[in-house]
Amino acid sequence: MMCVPGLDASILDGLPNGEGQLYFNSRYYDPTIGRFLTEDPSRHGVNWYAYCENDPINKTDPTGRLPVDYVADVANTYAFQLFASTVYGEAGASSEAAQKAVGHVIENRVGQREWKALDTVSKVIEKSGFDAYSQQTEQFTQAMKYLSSGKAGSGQNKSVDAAVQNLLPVYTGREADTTKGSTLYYSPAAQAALHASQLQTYPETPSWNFGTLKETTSSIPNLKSTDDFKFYAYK
Amino acid sequence: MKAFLPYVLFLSVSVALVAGQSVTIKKENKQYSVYLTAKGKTSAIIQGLPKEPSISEINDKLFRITLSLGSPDSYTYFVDSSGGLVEGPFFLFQKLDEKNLGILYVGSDGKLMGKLLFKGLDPVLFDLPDISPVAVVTNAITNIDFPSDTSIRITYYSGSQYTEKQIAVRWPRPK
Repeated sequence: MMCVPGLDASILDGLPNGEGQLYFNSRYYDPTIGRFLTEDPSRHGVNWYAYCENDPINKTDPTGRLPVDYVADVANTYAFQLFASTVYGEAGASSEAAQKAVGHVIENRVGQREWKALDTVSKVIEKSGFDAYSQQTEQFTQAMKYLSSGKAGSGQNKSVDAAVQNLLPVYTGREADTTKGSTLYYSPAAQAALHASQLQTYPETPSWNFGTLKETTSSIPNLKSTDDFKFYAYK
Repeated sequence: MKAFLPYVLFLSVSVALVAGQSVTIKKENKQYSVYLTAKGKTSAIIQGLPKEPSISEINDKLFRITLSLGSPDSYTYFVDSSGGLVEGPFFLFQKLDEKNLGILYVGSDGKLMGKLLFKGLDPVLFDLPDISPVAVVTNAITNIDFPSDTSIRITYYSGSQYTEKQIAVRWPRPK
């Protein structure tokens, strides 16, 4: 089925063999060819028959008159900026896959188990122990300042811009959870180094009840050997 | 926590406290150390950290240093800069009772512990009966407050339905 952002998928499900035309308030759209059947009444852009300027991943057009940059709208919200900055603070120096996985960990806590009262991503970040946020680390602060000043995508901070592009599909739910429901993680190399430096003071692993958990790290695609993360989900 | 002390990552970072006192984070041989300068004397108070810690000021003579290694995975030190005293590390520090200088944290066996700082007292175990099935005890805690000078009220999830429950416990006292 063709993906049409901004539409309820059930509308398309009801079309026989994916055929038929959809009325978008001001004109008809044919999902089989991915085009409007009449020209854009507002004459916006170059191609007046294209859906969302041929960028349906990042844009939506609920009125049929003007594509809306859905991604930019999301990226400009405080909630997304908090999400992206927290992930950047926790994993900014790690691979894209590790950043996505940390993002999924945040998402996976929302409203679940012991986090049942935390019904938004922002509440999870603020109240469930992400030190990049709670300690306002240098990386978190740098990303938050950049994003909240409206500079996202300007190229002034390529690292944060890349993290934003990497995390938008996670935040908007357009990318399936790659972590098999993970809700906790730690840095095994750093923990081991700490343990090695002071055996009696620091344990080899965090003092968690590992009997309730299963490790998911090996099933997360595209993690790099340099990523210092182990991810865990409840059994 | 009253304020965060801003600092930038560099080979050596100093944070001024009250007059004549400062805390400095130094990166040496890929490890981080924390130095305290007080009464004209500088000494290493924490050494061998694999990642850069963060510093937050609690009041003009007490601050905390936190090393974060995951979520949830952190180790916290408390430093009394006026006396040059350091206590820690405490795993998953939760809450400070500023009046009593008491803290709640997770012990090495994963249980909730309480300790009065800089008094030389042993920590005490705070049992949370019928706590919900969690991997980390502090995940089940929804609130901690201090209704009187000596008591601690802990609200936590109990049972398989994660129902909130409260218990009241007391800080340990010298014998």
